[in-house]
Amino acid sequence: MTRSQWMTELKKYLITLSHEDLERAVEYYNEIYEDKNEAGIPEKEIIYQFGNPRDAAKKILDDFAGVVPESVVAIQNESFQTNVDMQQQVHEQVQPQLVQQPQFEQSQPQQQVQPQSQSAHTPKRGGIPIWVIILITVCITLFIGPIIGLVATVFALFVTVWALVGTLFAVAGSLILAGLVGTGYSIYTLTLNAPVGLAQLGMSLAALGLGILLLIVAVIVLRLWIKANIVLLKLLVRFVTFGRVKIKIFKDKVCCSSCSEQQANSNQGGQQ
Amino acid sequence: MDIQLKKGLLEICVLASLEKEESYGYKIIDDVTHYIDINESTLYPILKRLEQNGALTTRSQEHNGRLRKYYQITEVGRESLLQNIRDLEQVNRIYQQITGRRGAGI
Repeated sequence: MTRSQWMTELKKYLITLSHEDLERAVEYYNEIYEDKNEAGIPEKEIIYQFGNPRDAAKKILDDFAGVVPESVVAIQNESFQTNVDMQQQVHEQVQPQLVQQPQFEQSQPQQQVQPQSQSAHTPKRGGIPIWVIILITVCITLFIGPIIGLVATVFALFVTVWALVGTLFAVAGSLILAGLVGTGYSIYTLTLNAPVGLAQLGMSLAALGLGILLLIVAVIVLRLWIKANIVLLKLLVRFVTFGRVKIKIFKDKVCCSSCSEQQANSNQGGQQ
Repeated sequence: MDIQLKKGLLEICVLASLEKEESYGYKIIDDVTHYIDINESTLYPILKRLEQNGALTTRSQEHNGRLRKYYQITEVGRESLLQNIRDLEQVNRIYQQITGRRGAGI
């Protein structure tokens, strides 16, 4: 990247600043560029030392935002109490602001710098970066239809199998009932007309037998299906808790830097 | 180093570099970088803050056909620097205590 390219990029990222503030920032970097150039440092090296114009812009913008972490406010309060001399009044004006700092380290080009959640002045979103929120919203809107469809399908499958099991019992039951009724009726028919009665008896007994067999099968299937339900339910519970854990890990990972800053700040506040 | 700690220290270092005589951007970086990590991007907000708080003033002067901004420490800046040095002395005492105790204890 050349000097003018770097400056152009910087101006681009600082576009939200007032004209005056933007010009001042650009002047600053130009001045340092010239001084370094005078000292014999080549353009490429200077640009390398300047780093990413985006990061440089972020530092400036964050400073304008003036975010103050709670722990720094605690340090300010502490220093009020420890100062007793006449210069106290001066310090009260100067020191609090001097201790206030924006909390962003110069980041590597690939690293994301996250906003702090414990800010006294600017409320943040609990440490979740905006890009994650946008991504999640987009995913939800895109996939909500198919997801509902999938859930509904799975539920329908469940209901279907239960219905089938119920049907098995119903069929078995009706066969048994028919068999019993038929047996009774065929015995009566036997007295009237032996061959017909016998045939009817045969069919009725067959139906009865089939019904009983089917009932046994139905009971076995029901037992297996209930077992399967329990296993699936357990899996579902585990999946949901696992999902929650994964979300928490993801959240921690993504908010890692801001979280560790929070911890460091609360430690600092405690020690002071 | 902890970010907050570093930012606080950098302000002290910048004020210290201005205590004896006025200076300009590149020179401040050059002086301070010997004992703490600093670059132009970290320096800029610090200078801005210090100026806002009245700890330093600026003026522009021509140099080799271009304008260079010079920074001078104020009384307010000197007071603040003094206080910060006292704080650092206390930090040093704590440091001695902690490391001394650790050395003897183990």
